[in-house]
Amino acid sequence: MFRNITLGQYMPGTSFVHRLDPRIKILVTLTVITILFMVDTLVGYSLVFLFILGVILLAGLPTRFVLYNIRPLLFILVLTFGLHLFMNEGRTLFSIGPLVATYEGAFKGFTMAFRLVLLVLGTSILTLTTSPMELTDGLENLLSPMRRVGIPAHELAMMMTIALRFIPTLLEETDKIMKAQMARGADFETGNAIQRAKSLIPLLVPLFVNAFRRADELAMAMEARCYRGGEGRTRMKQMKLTTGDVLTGVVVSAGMVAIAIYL
Amino acid sequence: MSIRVENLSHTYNPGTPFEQCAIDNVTLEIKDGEFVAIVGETGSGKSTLIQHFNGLLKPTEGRVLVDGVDIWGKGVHLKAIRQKVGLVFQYPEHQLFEETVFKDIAFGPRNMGLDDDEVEKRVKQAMKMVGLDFKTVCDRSPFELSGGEKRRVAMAGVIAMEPSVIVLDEPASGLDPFGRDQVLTEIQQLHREFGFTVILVSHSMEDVAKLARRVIVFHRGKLIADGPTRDVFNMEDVLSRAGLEVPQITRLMQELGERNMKVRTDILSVEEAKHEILRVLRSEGRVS
Amino acid sequence: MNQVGDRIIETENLVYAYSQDQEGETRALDGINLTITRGEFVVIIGRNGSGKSTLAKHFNALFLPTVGTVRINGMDTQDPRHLWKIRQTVGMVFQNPDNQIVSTTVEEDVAFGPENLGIPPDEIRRRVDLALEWVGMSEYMRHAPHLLSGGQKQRVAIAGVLAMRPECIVLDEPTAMLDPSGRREVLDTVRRLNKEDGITVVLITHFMNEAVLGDRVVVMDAGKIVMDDVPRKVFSQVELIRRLHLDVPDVTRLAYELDSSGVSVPRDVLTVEEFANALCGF
Repeated sequence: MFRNITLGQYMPGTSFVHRLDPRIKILVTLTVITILFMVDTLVGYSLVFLFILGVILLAGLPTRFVLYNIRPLLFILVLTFGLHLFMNEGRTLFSIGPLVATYEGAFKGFTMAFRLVLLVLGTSILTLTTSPMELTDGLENLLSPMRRVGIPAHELAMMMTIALRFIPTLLEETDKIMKAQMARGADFETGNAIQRAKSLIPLLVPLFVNAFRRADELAMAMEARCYRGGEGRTRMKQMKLTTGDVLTGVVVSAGMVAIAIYL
Repeated sequence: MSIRVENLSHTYNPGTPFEQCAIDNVTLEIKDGEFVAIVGETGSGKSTLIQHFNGLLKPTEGRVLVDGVDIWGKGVHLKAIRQKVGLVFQYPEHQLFEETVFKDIAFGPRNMGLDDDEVEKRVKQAMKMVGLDFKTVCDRSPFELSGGEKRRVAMAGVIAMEPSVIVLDEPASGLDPFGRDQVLTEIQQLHREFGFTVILVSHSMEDVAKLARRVIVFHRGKLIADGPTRDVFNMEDVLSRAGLEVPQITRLMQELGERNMKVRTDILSVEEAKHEILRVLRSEGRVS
Repeated sequence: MNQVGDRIIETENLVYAYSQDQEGETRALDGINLTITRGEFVVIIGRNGSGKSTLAKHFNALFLPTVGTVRINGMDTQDPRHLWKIRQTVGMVFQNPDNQIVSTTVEEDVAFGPENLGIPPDEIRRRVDLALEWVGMSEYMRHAPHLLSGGQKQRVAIAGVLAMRPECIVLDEPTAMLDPSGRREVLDTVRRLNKEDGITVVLITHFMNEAVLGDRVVVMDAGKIVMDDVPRKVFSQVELIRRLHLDVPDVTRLAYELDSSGVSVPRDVLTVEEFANALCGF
């Protein structure tokens, strides 16, 4: 069942978007997110949407697959739309009993759902075109000036790398243990909340025990390869900001700010 | 109890860029009382196949029949199927979770809704079958046992449900030679003395040679050979295509055959090889 | 670097003890004296719990002796000043391929060791490319490790060690979780490293067909070394080996059985080839 998780999985490529410095990509993504919270006109959203669409095409991502990423959100989208549809005052569109749907509500609901879609698309483009390694390196680099105020940038990045590395492994293991217990007649799907929580014990206990065992072995393997924290450590891949990277960052951010100011 | 799969195909992640066909149009039948080995490399589809035998996976296409009944048909309880077709996963010790060995083995029988007396009876019986001493082990934590013992506890956990078919995925992997022999001997007893139908999944051809009477070979999701162990082990090209190795002893006999010694080449054990070589040497008058 | 005859690993009266629940002390290693010479291919066998893994972990200071000394190229593992030099000299590959790969791409993982050593980026790049080429994994450079087969993962792990330019590699049951072709991949790689690059290899295994590949087999039982000789001598002692709950290769056992039944076959054959030569030659 967990084999179906594809949300935000990295899709290797060599496009301009793929090659862009990860720090610029992270900063641009942050800008887009911020702008999305400041803009509240349909024209503004549409411009951001066109921008995102352009990036998807430029990155050579399969559009269908990117849109597939939204599917898990469908329920939330419908809920958002529904809530706004009925919760706003204005001209009546139709009514079901005491619930009155309004034109204003429909409009508001639509823009809200649109904004959510844009948020998800914007962030998934980042993870779709940036390898987890570049992403953590970029974050580590952006955070490193904050080391002085006590933010352990290297440790955080290392934790993130290991987490990313082991997520697929742990998902696979969860699937396997679940099946193994189901083969012994365990039932994870029926019963009330308490029964269901209880039925998770045969899954969670082995999962934790195995995770600790893995952590132990991994720590030993890392030590055997001379790991001793971030001090004195070099990196194979150096991030180099090119003029093109900076220019891209400046142009896109300026465009976004313009949208925020004028629309 | 017989298991039959008809035109079975299984595809993971259909309709995504990660689509992957794990089993491709496989038909086979395993009859009551057989000891069958399913062999193939990692990724050949054997593990996916066995998860269809007890309904843990649903076929993308095709049918799975247990005792002639389509297990995905209307009114069939998968829980009942899973009790009849016991599945022991690879490294089953990784699924132990209870405080005591007794409780862990009792997990299956309790899920079947049996009463305390019956549960205890079954736990005792299952522990006996896998060679664990009830008195000394039952109250211990499964986590403080040795690797081999843990594996036996996990096997007992499935056996205690009293299935009629038992499917074991790489039951000896990771054990030392002695632990290996012990586990394999117990599996043989399950078949011979207690009458289980046994389906053994393995890539150790030595183990398969020792135990199974019939071998099914998988390669890239397809069934590429199915027959008596002796015959399959003599199909060198099939086995090497499947990335498997003929047991050393079989290879030796084939080598002797190539050097014009008139020995049978379908030999599976050291014992057989010894008798065969002695027979030939005697007939040639080289040994009295 | 490749002087023949000098000692790369040396243990003297090595004892490793840990205390169990009640005061009792268990000796996982009990007086090990072992010398491994540069360029050797040494195989260690022994039943589960015999102390093989514990011993291996002393070779790069992951474990430190309770009593006695371990010296790597003459450096005492107890001396913290030598710690990183020792770990760079003796690389380790573990049993579970999943639990020793740190990064999310193959090349980044191979770079992990050299990065920890503080090597300049260009040099790391060169080493990573070379190491991956060595183990035949160059085309998988940018792959995610969890999508590789077991044999491929172990080859990546070996490359990760090679990129640190070690003089010795210790492999702790590297093939236990692999299928036959994965095992072949790993063993071929290890043999090549030993024969062509003169890297000292210490291989721990449960598979007797792998043990015969060594120049020397060390047999352990209950924390002690009970045999230490060339494979031919070790495996010809069929009864002793079986008493230690171990096994000999099937052809060796067949030779032993035939010899006991009056057919004169040398008891120390180790391979199909040798057996066939012996039987068809007389």
